[in-house]
Amino acid sequence: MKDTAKYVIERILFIFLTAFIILSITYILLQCLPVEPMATQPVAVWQFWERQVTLGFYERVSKADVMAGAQYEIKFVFNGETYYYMGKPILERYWTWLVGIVTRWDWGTSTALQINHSAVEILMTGLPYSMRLNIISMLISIPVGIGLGILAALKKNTWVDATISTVIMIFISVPSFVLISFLLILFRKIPGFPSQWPSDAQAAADPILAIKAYIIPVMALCFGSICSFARYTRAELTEVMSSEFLLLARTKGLTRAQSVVRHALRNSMVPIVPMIIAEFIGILSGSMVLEQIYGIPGIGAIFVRGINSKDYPVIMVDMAIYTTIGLFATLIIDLSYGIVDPRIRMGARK
Amino acid sequence: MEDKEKKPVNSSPEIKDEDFVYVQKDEKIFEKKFKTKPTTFFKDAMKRFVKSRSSVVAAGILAILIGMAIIVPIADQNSIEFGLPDARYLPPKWFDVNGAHFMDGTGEVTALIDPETGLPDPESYSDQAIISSIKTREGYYDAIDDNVKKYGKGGALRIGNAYTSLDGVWDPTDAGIMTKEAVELVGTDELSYTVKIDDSAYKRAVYEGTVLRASLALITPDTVEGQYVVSYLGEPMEIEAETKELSFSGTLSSAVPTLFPDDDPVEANLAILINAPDDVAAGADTLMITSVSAKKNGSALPVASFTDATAEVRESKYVAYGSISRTLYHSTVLFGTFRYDYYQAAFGEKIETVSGQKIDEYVAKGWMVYTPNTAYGQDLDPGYFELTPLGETYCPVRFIYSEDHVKAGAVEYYQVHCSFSLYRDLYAQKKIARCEMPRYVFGTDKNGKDFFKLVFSGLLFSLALGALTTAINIVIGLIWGAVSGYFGGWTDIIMERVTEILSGMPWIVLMTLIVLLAPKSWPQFGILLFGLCLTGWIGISGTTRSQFYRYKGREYVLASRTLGASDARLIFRHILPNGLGTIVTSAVLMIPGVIFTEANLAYLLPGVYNSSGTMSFGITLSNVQNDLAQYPYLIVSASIVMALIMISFNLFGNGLRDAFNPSLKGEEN
Repeated sequence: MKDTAKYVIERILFIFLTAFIILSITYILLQCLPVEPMATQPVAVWQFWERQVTLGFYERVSKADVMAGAQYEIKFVFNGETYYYMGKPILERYWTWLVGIVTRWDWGTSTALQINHSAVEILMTGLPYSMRLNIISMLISIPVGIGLGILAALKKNTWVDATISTVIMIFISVPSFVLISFLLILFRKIPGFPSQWPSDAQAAADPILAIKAYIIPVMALCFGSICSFARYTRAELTEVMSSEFLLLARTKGLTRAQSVVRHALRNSMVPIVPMIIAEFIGILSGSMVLEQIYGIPGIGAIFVRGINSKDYPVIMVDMAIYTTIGLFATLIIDLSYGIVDPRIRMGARK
Repeated sequence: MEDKEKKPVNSSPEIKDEDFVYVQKDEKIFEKKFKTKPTTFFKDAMKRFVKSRSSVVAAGILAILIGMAIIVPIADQNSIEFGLPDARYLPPKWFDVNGAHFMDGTGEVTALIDPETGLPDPESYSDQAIISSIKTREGYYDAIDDNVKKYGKGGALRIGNAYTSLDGVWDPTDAGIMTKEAVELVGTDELSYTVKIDDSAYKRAVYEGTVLRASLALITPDTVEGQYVVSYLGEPMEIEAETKELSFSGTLSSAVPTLFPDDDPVEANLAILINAPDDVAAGADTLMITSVSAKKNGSALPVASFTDATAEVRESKYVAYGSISRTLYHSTVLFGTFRYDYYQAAFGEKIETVSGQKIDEYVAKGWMVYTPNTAYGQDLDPGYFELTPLGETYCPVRFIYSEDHVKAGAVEYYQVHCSFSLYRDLYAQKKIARCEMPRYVFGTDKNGKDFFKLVFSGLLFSLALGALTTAINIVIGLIWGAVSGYFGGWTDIIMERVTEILSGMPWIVLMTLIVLLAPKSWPQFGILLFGLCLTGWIGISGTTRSQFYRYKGREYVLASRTLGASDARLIFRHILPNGLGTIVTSAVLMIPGVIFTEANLAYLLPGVYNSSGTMSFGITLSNVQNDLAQYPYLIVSASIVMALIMISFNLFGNGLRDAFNPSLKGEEN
């Protein structure tokens, strides 16, 4: 038990360290790119620069010789006055940024999408859409996938198994963005089916439309993960089914159904649980493209908009979300092995 | 001696003496040849591989696709550098125009038909390319567009108050339409002004419990420029379901005395206004005007009257007054459905006007003989012309009907109206491969580029990227994994931490950083290669490392070491070959991964990453994503190729894995 606790703490500390290193590298690298605030009103841009000065990322340049020597980064004319700004050294900005996060949870402000708004808040508006989509996909694909896998394993080497395995092979290979194109073409024939994500107002006016809008993206996301679950379940279950303890269960008088439910299924579920988490990460990155194609205002779509308008603070937060989710998922996967399978001792030396 | 007799040495009589002969007595013992054929590791794997039928089929498809990716960009001479603006969005054409219309480059088109000629708008549809009779049906059109303006008739002019409530209070000001031209009126004039309303349309628009009021008025310019004074002709009328018309008739000086204080003539515009009350719901404030008749002293005022609402929109006798929305309602049009040969329309012979410059060019090339007219003028008889016979040379001009010869000052030029064949011209410009009507297997995209060639050259790009990435990743992964696994200890711990941190970085984060930070001068291929190789080797290094853990303690390694083998020799000659099968398998499975990642990037980083010229498969695919609704054949063909390549790579890879490592068979499939 002591070993386990030590291992868990070690892992968590290491994950934090990794996240810190990755985010630091990302921040420093993104700082190398020029900041280009974009707004229709110059007052917003001016406010942006002034805020950067107050926060300590940039400084106003006022000395004549500096201006003459053009040793400034930004020249900005507002209300007839010219403002010159100069970025502080990158490492200093990095430190200010770190302090800002720790003290105020300030990850920076958007430069283009919604200028002067907190980047975290912008991402938070998108997060529910992405999460809802992903969680619905997971909720559908876990039972369907495991069910199909069990069916295929129990009917091994029959036409049922052959069909399921073929379908699995096809859909596991086809990327979700290819799949959604076919689905969109298919569903276009059905009237009243949205080919684009409805806006919030539309969705509020027509709740059925809002539900219908989930069908295509969820299907596109589901097929792949259903197939991974089914393939995995089938492989695990067939292996367990041929094991000796199952033979023993049958010899001691259990029916086939009893032996499958009590012994085979339970054991085959061991590697499936960590896989669910791994699949969640897969869906999350797959949904980025789908959001883009289907027009869902999730974090994937915000990412693409951020890239297109060079809104680096927003991209930074978006990448931080993906990084942390990814890292913590691996942590949970590692830990869950020990929880679901008592035979695996965490931190045990091989 | 007795004892000897009692116990016989050999009591069993069945065994004969001959049985006690050495088997190989007096025989020479040689090494015998193996009866079985010798096999190598790869031959053995091959034998198992061919047993898996699906993998063999996949390998076949893969070979075909890879072959096409190499051959098509070379063999298909259609240029994808420049698009052909005339050939945008052509459907796939595999066969000549056939009865079943299967992949013959034709399509069913429904368009508005000009009732006079019985043909669709010649601007959009060339009548030479219509290959079936036009089935017409009458229909309605509820919006103003150029075609309806041209070909529609009747219907009603729908005007609605376009007031938008900013503060939530619905209090629209009067708005409507007024004649564009003013009418000269004097006080003694008898004006009769009747506006017919389509009541059926009104019923549709009206909401329950609200009352709409409308009135007729005269509008005169105010003393302030740009502003108007409205003089109502009578009280506003309540519009009810059965209201058929609004009308005014009477002497102006008695109806609007303020406007006509004396006998001086007044320039006034006739107007139809909506006086929406406060309680009218938005959208209910709509009038459908079918016709207007205005008479002054018994004679019609054509500037204010119309009988055909569509014609009114075309001529716009009335203009908006105030914030008003105008559309057409139920303008009667003729819809025609016909089969249209897009290829004929794009490339076929058409009557066109060709500049003399071009004709001179053709003459210089010896494709035709032409002597322009000496006279000047429009539509002259053509000068002497002689065309090379069809088929032998490529003269795009097939017949000359007339010539314009213009002289304006120092400028003198001529142009001919001729039958012109575009594909011959394109061939002459080296933009298409052969001097015949092109056939695009996958159709053309929005730029008029051959999509078949685009897909396969994109595939070649992506496959090359995949192969090179895999090669580099394997080299790095093997070395990293070998060093880490072989030496163990602190080396291993440090190297493991590095890979762990690197693998914690999501690929999207990494690729974004690289694409954003890479110098613009780098070729796209290089940027992608760099990004994909940065973390791509981690998986291979992991398997290699565990291979080394497993084999480095084996006796044969120890034996080799005692014989003085160096570390490098142990690593590369003794331990590494054990993992050859795994390496080949992961190499095959890595290529579709690279194609997938690249395609994802093309969708996620469109603006940044699309900028340079080379077209990867992902870009080809994501570029046609927006055409999905209107031209689905583009995305379908590209997606099928994408799906095929992914499926066959995976099947092939799985087959290889099972072949190299039979103990894993069925584990993940």
